[in-house]
Amino acid sequence: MPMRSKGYANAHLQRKHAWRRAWIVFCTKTFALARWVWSVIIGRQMQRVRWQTVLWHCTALTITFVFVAPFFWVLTSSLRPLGLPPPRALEWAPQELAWTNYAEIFRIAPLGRQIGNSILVSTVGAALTLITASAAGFAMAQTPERPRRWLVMLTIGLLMTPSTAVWLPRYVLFSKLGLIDTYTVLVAPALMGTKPLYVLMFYWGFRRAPRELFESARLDGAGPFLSWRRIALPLARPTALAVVLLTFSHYWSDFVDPLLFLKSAERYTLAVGLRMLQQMAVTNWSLLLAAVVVMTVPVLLVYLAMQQFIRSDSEAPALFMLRSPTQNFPQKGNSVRPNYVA
Amino acid sequence: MLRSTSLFFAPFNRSWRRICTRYRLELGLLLAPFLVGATLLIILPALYTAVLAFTQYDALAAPTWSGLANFRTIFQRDLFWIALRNSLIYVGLAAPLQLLGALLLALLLHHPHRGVRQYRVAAYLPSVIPEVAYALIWLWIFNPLYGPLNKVLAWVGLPALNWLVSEDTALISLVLMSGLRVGEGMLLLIAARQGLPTAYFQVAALDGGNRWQLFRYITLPLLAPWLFLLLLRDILLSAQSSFVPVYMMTSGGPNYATTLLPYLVYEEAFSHFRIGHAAAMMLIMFAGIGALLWLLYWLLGGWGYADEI
Amino acid sequence: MLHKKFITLFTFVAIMAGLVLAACAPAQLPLPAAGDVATPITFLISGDPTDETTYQTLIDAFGAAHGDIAVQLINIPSGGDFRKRLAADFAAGTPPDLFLINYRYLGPFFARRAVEPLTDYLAQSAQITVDDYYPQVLRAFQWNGVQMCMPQNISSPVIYYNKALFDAAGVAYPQDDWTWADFVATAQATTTDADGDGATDIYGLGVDATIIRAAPFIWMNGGDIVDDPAAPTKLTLAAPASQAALAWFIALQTAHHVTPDAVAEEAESSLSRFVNGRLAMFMDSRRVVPEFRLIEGFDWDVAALPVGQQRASVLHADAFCMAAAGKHKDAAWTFLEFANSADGQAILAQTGRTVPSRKVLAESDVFLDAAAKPTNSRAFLDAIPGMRNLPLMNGWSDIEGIVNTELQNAYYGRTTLDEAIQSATQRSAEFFAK
Repeated sequence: MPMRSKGYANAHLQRKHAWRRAWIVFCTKTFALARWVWSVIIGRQMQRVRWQTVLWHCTALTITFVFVAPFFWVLTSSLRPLGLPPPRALEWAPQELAWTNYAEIFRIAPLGRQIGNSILVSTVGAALTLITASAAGFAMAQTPERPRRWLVMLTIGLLMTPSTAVWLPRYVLFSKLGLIDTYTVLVAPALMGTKPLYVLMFYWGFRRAPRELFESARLDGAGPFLSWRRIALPLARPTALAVVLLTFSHYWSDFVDPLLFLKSAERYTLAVGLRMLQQMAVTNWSLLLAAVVVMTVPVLLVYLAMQQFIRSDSEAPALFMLRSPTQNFPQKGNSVRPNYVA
Repeated sequence: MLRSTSLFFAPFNRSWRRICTRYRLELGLLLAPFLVGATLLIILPALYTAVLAFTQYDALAAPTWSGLANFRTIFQRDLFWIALRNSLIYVGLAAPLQLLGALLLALLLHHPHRGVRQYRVAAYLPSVIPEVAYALIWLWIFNPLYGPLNKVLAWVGLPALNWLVSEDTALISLVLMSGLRVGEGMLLLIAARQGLPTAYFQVAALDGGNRWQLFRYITLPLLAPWLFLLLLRDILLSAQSSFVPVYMMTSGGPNYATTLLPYLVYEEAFSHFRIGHAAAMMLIMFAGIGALLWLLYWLLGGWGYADEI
Repeated sequence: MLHKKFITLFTFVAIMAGLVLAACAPAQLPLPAAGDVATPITFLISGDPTDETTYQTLIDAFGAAHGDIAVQLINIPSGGDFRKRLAADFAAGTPPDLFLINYRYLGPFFARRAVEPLTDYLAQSAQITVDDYYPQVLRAFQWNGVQMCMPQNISSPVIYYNKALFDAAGVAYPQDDWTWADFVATAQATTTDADGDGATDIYGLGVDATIIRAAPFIWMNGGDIVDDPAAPTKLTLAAPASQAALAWFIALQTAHHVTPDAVAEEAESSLSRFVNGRLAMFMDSRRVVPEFRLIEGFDWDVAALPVGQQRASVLHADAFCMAAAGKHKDAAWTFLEFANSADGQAILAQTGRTVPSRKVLAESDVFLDAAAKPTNSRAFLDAIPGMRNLPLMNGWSDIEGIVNTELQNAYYGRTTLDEAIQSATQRSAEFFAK
């Protein structure tokens, strides 16, 4: 190894470490200060905090900032007064808040009506999906081995079907059934659990639930219907929450179905309204972003409401889960490798 | 062969049936809405489309049988290969990126620190935003002159990029924007990570394992089945979910740099009324995704939960 | 017992929503009943809310005279969504009775006889006769000599200009006989870097890099887009006259830098720049007038396209088409007749969006209203004698897409013009074959 490359690498590393150290020191000091102020305010003795915790908070803050920043900017930019020249430099907050932008979008498009339609469709869709998807997922989990595999394969196959493939035939089907231009047609997918993925989510959830539970219920003479209603559904609460959120958001943002299957503008949903605004307000980002906020906030509220239903930290990770996955691994010997690798 | 057939028919033989008729009927009833709905809304439409792949059909006149002509035409067209290449790049980058993002977030946010829930909510935020709105948001963020992204780059002192305007960066931009929608994967992996027995980590730490070794030899292998499941899901979803961003943000440009298969299919069917061609492409896409999943399944040696599936 | 609450809540919501659905849906449905109920016809358009309001006004006016026909207006705002909807409607065998569509998308419909020929209807009509309309626009909706649709407007691209920016730059307003050289000089004079930071703040010209914008210049230069406009078999953009016109067009961006480059155009569209007073000239058809009438910051007007070796312009027109598979063709014709009568077109012309296709109306105060901007509306009528249309053929949407992409590559300096032309000619060949 030539000497100069080593020297270069060292200098580089030192510079890097210096930055890191400075960052850590800065975070630690800030955090300590904030904690001290807080302890004074609430009048309680400070507890010792390990510097790792502080570092963790710093990292978490930095990273989650990346995730929140887009929406933050959308929010501030939606309040930018109309007619200003586009910003030249980074604006963390607009100089003045033009709340009238929101009034304006409600004036130029019938958003109120569309929000009503969207709430109707999304709520009904989510509620129906919860019932059909959990029922199907439960029944699949209780089906004997062979047909069950076929069902799962079939569902995965359904999952792979491009949505473009079904637009035209569905239109033909719905018009034959005389359902064009009704709300019913928008929530029709809820009949099959909206998306095969949601059925699979319930299925995986129920497969991981302790089987003895359903066995003993069955021995007690409870049919599948009763088991589903009384045992499975309450057990699957985290999955149910996740599915409700995903479905609500699906119906909320779907703009293809309303455009294809509706005729009367008074039945259009908010997603279509946003498309219309995009056509109309191409010249005006403030208005468009205000509409984006109007479109996003209700889903956000549903998400936060779902959070309130979560009882404990272990339930928070809602997806797919009822039981820890490691319980499926053989725990013999010293091996911690899962069995499938062998 | 004999064994497997008898196994297959085991649920249907007479004694089993006598005991369980009512039970199975109820199971069937629970399953019925899904099966009926799926048949009506996916299977039949998809089969209909699959048949159309072998016809000339423009929605205006009745379809006429044309055998494999559609496939021959498609394979001769550069645009199909461009779209295929773009799609493979997109899926090849987006799915691993989402997986990696979800894993890193999960490793960071599985600690039961105070305030962790707020961080999780924050990290989940981009996944909640409806995709139409999400596309518009990023169209604005990527704005080369006035968008916040380039301004942040300038603020940090980095050169501005042209994002969606340049052929070289347009597809990458779409991948990047999909990389923030990792909330579901993150929650799944947090759950999985929290489920790992702490004893393993304690023993390994006593044996003098450092953090990297703990991750490499304990966390990663134990999380592998979940990661695999997630990768399959991400591949499936990113293969299809690219339509809305392309449709709303780039219309396939510049110079076809973001023409992905779902968008090309849409253009063929609804801008040029060549539904036969579009159906043939969809069939190819379906087969492609199926093959990709099968390859992964084969490469990684099974589902990880073969008994569970 | 939170989970019980949860399930109860959702059951409740589901039931409530179900009730709402059950209660509302049937009540709102237009129930077809026997007897005296009006014949329902559907009318599909693609436009912004202003258009929708205008057409609703037209329908209301029609309804006052024809109580026996109920027209349902369906507006699909985006052009792409509109075509998807149209395809689905036709595939299901339930096409709209009437639809309003640009002639450039009609090739496949004519080729498949999906549109009802109007010869017989026109022959019997007391209200409208083809002699009332400009022949330049009727021509674009004829297939094998048969009138298939009735044109609603006869628009064409003109140069919108911002008088304030012209005054500030000390440039004279465009004259009717200005040349290409005048045009470039004007654009150069009005392109300015106001704050002196090296970046252009005000561009002299905004124009889409598309074939429909470049076409008039090709024709003015004596060139053509295709070999035989009546029965095209290939692109002729490589011919010297066409190539020279395209080279001049592309030089606006690549050599003179008077139009926004790719980055600037993506950052803010030329349309938005013009509306916000940061673009001196903007080339577009009549359709932007309603939006421009809302401009308060400066005065603006329109000018004819700069003249080359000869005068030429390209037709922009939409027409009412009747679906051949429609179930109420007579009722649809009655509405079409009304919409294209002097009264009907007068209603549509009021927004300022259309150039009426009826000669008398176009020459009247309804269109040439001196009080309404643009003052020089006559520029639209002056363009009519030299007006030509893009080819009407089955594969035109493909060809136009390919040519536009390649043209943009050349316009924004990604390839040379010759490469772009060669690629466009080669790739479009298969769509001429059909």
